[in-house]
Amino acid sequence: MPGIRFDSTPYYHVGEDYSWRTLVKEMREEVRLMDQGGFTGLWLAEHHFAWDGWYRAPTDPILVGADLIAESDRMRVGQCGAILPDWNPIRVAEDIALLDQLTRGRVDFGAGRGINTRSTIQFSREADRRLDPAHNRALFREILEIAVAALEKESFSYKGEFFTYPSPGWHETNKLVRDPRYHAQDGELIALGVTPRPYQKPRPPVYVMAESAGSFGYAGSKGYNAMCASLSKGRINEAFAAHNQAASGRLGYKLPSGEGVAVMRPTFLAETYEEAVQAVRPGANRLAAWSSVNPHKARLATLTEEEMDDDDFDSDWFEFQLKHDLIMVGSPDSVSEQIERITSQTGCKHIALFLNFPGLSFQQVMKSLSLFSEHIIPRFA
Amino acid sequence: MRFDSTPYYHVGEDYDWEILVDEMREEVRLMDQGGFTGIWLAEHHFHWDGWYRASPNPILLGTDLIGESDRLRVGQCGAILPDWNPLRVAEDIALLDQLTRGRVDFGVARGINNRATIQFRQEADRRNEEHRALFNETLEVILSAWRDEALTYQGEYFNYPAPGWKETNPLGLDPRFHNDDGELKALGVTPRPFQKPHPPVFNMVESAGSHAYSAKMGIGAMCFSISHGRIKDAWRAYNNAASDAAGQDMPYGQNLAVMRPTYIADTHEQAVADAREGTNLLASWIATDPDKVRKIMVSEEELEEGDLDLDWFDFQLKHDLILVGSPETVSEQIERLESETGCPHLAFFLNIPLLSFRQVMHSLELAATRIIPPFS
Repeated sequence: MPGIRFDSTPYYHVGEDYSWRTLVKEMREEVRLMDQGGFTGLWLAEHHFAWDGWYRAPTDPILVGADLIAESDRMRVGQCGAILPDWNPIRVAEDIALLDQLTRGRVDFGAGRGINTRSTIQFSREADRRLDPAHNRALFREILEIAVAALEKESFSYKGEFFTYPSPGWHETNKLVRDPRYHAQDGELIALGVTPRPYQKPRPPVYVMAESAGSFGYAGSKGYNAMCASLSKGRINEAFAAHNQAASGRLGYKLPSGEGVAVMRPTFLAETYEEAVQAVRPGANRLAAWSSVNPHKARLATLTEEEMDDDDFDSDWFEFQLKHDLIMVGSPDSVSEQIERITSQTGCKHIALFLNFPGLSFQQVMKSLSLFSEHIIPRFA
Repeated sequence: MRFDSTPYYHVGEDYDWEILVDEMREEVRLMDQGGFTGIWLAEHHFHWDGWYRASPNPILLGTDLIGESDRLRVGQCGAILPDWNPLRVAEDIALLDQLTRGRVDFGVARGINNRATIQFRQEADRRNEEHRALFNETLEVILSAWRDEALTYQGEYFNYPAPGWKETNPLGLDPRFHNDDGELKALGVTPRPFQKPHPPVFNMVESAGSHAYSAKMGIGAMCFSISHGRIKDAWRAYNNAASDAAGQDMPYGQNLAVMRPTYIADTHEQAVADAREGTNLLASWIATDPDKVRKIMVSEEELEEGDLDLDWFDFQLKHDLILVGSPETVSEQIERLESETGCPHLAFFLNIPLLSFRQVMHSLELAATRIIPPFS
């Protein structure tokens, strides 16, 4: 199935005490290879306080994106995602618009609610997921709504549960700067305009990092794209359908299936299937142990009932994920078969590789990217 | 003498960002070739009116622009701390320091644009005295995040870590960051800065009191709009406070810098003709009370009869508050600055309104060929 867009993250050496100086050089080299190799976009995660190496990623995906995307004149750059409760809504809109200008319109604005409560409560007490998931969700949606309004509209005001813009009570005394778009007759500030304006009009595409049909439906109803990382093909179908239905309802016509939705997959290729499995298995299992994934519950949530087999609770985490195409690990031929299954069974047209299996070397990662560029992208893109 | 510069933002114009970005990159390449040491970027929000056009994020823009040089340093003049979360700015500066391999100068400011700052934080309202305490706390958190491997902070505005988080995964427990029962007791801010223990810090300040405060905090200072007489007062105050803090006499002028609006043309007359209108326009936009401001900028001994009658441009030029002229006359101004204040570090502020990109580039070329070589 041709016409597939392929993106990728860089490799961060998760779980290692790795020199940032070396890491920066490696990430730039990876992006140059992606640029040459036919990848469309680069995605960067946001993780804070990674003193233990878990989960090592940039703390600011917009800032690191500005550095890395300088290695390519062509590729797009996104966040998977900017953890909105860790951001001021104005600041994230400004930064996205600025990066969009610096890259001449190559930004995909990815937004996430955050899964690391230890980290997120340091930025906003309101974001504590232990208290009330609905509260956290409302906070996320409000920040996104403000950021999108700030990006789309030359002047905007907002009154919500958590934020009010502009902050009330400012009167402009200098008549030279009064402007009816932003000031009442008496000089009171009644709207804000974020600058610079984004390069893409009316704004960069928004991708909500989502793992449920409900969140996909929400994204579709707002005109946002959505990307999932850990859903099975069956669950992807449910999520994509929810997005498509909501997006089509909003537009008033049927959105072609596969539009506005994307799948991220942990990916590693080696020359042979056995070599790839051997390289990845320990790291994949270690990552699960570190993330405190409750295997039983997580497996149930990841798959539909129909997809679940009797022996699925007995396999190790790596085996379980590989069997259900939740990770793409193998030779160019076996990964091609996985992509064939994912795209044909879900209608997915946009796949992002997540490179961060712990324990790989930079050389292994580069080799994997080269194999992907050489054998997979020409076949599917 | 060390020479730095800002880029040119086309303040007051409705200028296309697509062109602006290319121009700024070209300016930085010229600075790189021309012997400048650092670039400085301002933070301004919501400049829908073109005043004051700069970027809202000097750290992010700096990440892009410094890609044009393997040598130049990059600073903020300054990061408006009340507009930032303290952890976010500490992380971003450390990240940029890693990306540039230790070429960051961290510039901080309390902010002068109340309209913008209150959108980020109500307590930052300069109409309340509270804004000073907020600034101080923010700075303390940032410095502690870098100086201490494990950050704990109890303040009026900030508490780190947020109380009540228990680590349930035994794999993640670490005695530096967790109590025996798994409670999170400290934060490790990552990545660590490339420069150890952290990048040099410059506080954007004008008064003697704020200079002394900076010395007490162990950080440098950069002033912008005070006369030679006022600079001497402020730097003596800085030096005294630094010596008190160190318990020994510190060398005068260390970690101190001056920023000046600067424009150089082939002749003095040409430069004055090009810069006068924009300089006066900027003053009227800022809506300052000219008499009051003139007396703050210039000491009593320096203020002469007739000074209050000059237009803003002539007043500033007369007191060396702006550097405008030919290579010869600007050299004389810098000689006076050097001999009268002992200034070791001068940053050019290019943003006199109404100049063209070509004029700005020519001014930078003249600085690179005629000013920097004899002074550095």
